[in-house]
Amino acid sequence: MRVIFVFILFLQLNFLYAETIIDDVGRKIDIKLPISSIVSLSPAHTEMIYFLGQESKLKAVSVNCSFPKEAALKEKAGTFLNPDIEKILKIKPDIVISGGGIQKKAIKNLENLNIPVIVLYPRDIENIADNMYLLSFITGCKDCPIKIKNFSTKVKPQINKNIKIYMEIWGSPVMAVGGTSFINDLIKRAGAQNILNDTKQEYPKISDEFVIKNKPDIIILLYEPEKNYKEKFRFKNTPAGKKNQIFVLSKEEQDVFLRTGPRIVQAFNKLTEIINRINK
Amino acid sequence: MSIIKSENISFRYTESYNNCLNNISIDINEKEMVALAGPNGAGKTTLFKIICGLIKGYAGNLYLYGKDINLYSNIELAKIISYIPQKDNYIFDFTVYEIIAMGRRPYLNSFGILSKKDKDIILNICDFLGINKIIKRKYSNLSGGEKRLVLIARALAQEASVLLMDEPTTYLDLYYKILFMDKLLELNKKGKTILLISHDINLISEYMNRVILIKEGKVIYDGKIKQVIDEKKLKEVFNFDNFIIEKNKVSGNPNLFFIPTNKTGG
Amino acid sequence: MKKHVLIFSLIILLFFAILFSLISGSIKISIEELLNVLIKPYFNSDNSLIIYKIRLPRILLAILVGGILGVVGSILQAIFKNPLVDPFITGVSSGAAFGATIAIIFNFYSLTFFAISGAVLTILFVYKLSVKNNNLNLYNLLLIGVMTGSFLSSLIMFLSAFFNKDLIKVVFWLMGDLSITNFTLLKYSYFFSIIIICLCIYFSNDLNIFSLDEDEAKISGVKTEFIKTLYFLSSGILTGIAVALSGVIGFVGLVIPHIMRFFTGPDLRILMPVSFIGGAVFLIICDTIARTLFLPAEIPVGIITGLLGAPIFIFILIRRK
Repeated sequence: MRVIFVFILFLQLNFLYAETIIDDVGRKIDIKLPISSIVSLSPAHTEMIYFLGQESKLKAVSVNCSFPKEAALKEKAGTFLNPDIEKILKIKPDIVISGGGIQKKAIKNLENLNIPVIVLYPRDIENIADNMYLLSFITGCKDCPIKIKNFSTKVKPQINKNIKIYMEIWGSPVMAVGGTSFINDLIKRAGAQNILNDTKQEYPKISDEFVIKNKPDIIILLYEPEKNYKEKFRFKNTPAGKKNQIFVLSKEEQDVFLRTGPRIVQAFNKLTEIINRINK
Repeated sequence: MSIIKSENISFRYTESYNNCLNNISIDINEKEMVALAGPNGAGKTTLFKIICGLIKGYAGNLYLYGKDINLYSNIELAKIISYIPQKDNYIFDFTVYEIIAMGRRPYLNSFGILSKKDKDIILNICDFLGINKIIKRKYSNLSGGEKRLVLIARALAQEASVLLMDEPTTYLDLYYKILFMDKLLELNKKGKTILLISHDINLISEYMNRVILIKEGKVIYDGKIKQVIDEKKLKEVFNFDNFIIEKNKVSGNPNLFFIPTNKTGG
Repeated sequence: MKKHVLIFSLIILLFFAILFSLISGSIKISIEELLNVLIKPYFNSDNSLIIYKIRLPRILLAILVGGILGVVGSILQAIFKNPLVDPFITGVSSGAAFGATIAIIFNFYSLTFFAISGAVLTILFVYKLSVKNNNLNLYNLLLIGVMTGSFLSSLIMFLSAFFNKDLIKVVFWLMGDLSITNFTLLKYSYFFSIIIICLCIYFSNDLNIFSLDEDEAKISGVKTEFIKTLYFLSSGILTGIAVALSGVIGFVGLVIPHIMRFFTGPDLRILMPVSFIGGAVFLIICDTIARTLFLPAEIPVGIITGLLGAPIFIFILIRRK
């Protein structure tokens, strides 16, 4: 898929023509390119649009699209959970970007109203770049590919340093970063290994014993834990706990880990920083 | 003419080992007033259920007007047998009129529209029973006696040949007891066959013309009042001694008088 | 209350509820603009798209689902002789929800199809287990229905916990959603539902008699096995349709028949149609509130039916005393 897009990009045709796009869940969408109005229901992709400098084409965003701050000034098209179909119908955008999943019903409703929707759902960092190439293609942005290449360099995969990481996105109940989660890819790229790399779930509930048995060198928490969290069995009795390598990230730092957008670079940098420090 | 005839009916409830009914053979003719009596658990109610068509898996045969009961349709059966229950646990508060109108079911379509004829019949029945004044009231607000009259009215609306009743006077006060039985006599004179279960020996004696005594699922005695209601037979069936049977000075029928045990004072 | 007056005022209420719902939403449409759109349906303005393609289908769905839940509530309360019964007690809603959950988790295309299949399989399963010797035992039906419902609910929770990234999708589907733009689906649902409901109303007098006592009904000529089967299967299919289209919207089926019964009495020949209209009105109003009270967010309609329904019911109860 990526090869085809890159090939067409090199053609750099400048006039309107109809194109069939294939989105991240395999749907085929016919739209006239380049597009001039977008509604984004996915916070990550709103960020991408701003990153690519195409925000003038962005007519409305979901209430949850909180970054960058300018996005808050855009027209609102409902929440991530409940997109505002009426508002979107009124705006009549060339395309709606959806994060899929829970928006499935809204997508169906929009399709019935003949509004094109593409579902973009990056599963790993390479997909983020793919999505951005797609966005630059459909908006006809000429200087975007450079920006995206730049982005890719910043998240280049590092050599495996044989360091084991365990991450949680929530504490009660415990939701750990699993093998199919996006963050797992981030960890791999940063040169470490997620102790849950082989699990088939995204955010499984893990037992304390499993964590202890797998001896993580680093533990990262993407939430604000309770006061005596260091006393917790699964933290204390691990190399990370004993060597004081448990990191609690601030709210801003948490956000960049959980958004599959251009700011993933910051998450990547934070990870590599932590890993390299312990490597010394 | 035989209206209800059972031939060697035996029945056992699936949960129990013993037969509830053992070879019951009775023959009830048109226009009889028959009482079914016997100790608790003798099988009287079960026999009733079989006659009403509610219980099917029994051994033996049951004939109505000489025809096997299984050959009748639901509606045809409803025009032969009507039933007045002992108690009612009605959750929904229908009016008296609505409840009586339910008795017309065998003659109506499923939606239950009443024709002029149906309405007349209902009003006539209410006249006969003297319940015109309470027609619009909610059934649940009536007294026990009034409720009983309404249930008779419903059964009469079915215009069935037989009226089956399970202990109809148990919850009635003296006034309603007598009123009820008087009405039954009137109905019998008009041609209805009456079959009722009762524990009140004197009531049976004064009003009914035949009594069947059942014990442990078997018919022990079956015959006219003056023949069956006697001390020896009753003591045998009821396994109970503390009473005597004496002739009622006014009616001439055998009446039962209790002999109190020495424990309670006069 | 006179029956004609009641039906008439309910229909007026329905009319106003529809009007209220048509002008409410995230895009402001005044009554004038609404009339404009209604008079000129072929004119393709923004407002006409919103009215005809978004709000009207939604209102029609609310009428269908609210109506079904009201009618089924009245039927089941009569069959089980219990005023505390609601349409979901037979386990059908859990069956539909289970089908929907499978569709959500394994990402199958037609959620509605899976939900309906789940409902139908559950009805047949519960029915099969409750019939013995051609006799449908209501007591068993209730037990098996409740057990099956609980089992399926646990299964749903298990699957949601295991595939926890879909948990929120399942939960939100369960909480109820009346948005619909698929006219064909709506048409077919109306068609089948109306036929079944008319059948139910036709035999409703027999159900009246049945609702007092099953044995007595049989003796007075009612075909009790037929009535039990008809009404159980009808309520199962109707509830299945409602849940498949809109998720589990509680409270309507429990409370509307009760409230209507205060006005109409227990005669199902009038209680059933009145419960349909009452359920429709109630659900339209709840849905309009759910989607406008906290704009731009939309609260699941099942929450509003509970929050509104209980106080209304208690109020009527107290006034009656």
